[in-house]
Amino acid sequence: MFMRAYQDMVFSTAARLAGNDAQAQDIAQDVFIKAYENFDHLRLSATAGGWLKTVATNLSLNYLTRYRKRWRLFSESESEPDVPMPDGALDSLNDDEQRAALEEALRRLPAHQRVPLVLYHFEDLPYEDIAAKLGISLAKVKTDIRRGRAALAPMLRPHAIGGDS
Amino acid sequence: MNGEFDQDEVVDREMEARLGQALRALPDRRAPATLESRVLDALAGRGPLPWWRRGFREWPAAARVAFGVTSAALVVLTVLAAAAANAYLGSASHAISTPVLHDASVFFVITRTLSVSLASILSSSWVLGYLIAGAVLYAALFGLAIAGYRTLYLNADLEVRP
Repeated sequence: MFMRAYQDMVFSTAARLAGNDAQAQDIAQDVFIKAYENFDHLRLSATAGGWLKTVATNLSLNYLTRYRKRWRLFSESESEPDVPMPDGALDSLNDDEQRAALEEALRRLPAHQRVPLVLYHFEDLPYEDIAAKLGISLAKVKTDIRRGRAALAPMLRPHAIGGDS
Repeated sequence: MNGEFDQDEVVDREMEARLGQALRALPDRRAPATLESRVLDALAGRGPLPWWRRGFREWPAAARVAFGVTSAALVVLTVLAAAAANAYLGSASHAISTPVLHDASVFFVITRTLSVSLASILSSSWVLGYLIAGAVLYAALFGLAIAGYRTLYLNADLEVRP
């Protein structure tokens, strides 16, 4: 019951940071094993969701840093994204399809853009905290996030989700 | 030049707001149906948690007794040390000459007061003193254990490991 209440949130957090469903499932599994180890504390805690989200975020970042040695090296050497966004293609999609397209576009961003973007927009972390968490400069965080937004900008056509009109 | 910069800034902020709104509107992704069974299998494969990672009530009887004996020994040692310190301070204060005592620092006044109080407790109602010292030390050990558990174990995964 506990797991069913939180598994979508934990999996989403891991998937958006890791950019890979199989890895996200591994991370989510680790999160719930740790939750089991702390279950006496968590089952009565009103902040269990926040605890799980924080652990999912940190395990995802640990995963990324573990497999890419150093965030800085990985960040600077990764190639630019291949995110096809043909103009007007989104207008024919309904809301669900547009959300799925945005999720997919986010997934296809290179990690050095996706991770700070997710931390900023989903976790509400300020730039300074993101730079500290990732061990990169504040300027690089801002640049990566700005480029990530630019890559996702075609998703925000007037009729796309989140648009004002 | 400044106008262009300001315009870029406005565009960036508008993009940030719109994208943030769109991203936050994304629903959670559905976890794979296999996740729950994977977790349960992993937990079954790990076996039960070791006793020292469970609550005190679930510790083996021997471990609980050992913990109690260790705590009691610490209490006794502390009380004996306090008594020894009291005796030492008492003899030391007698050795200090009166003019020096008049000029003594606050430290000596406090230690003397404490030693006299402790001596009074030990001489008149030593049982009460032992009980108080035991209760204080038990509370201290209990607090230390909780703080250690929360700091070293519960929060361990809340930090990003490099």
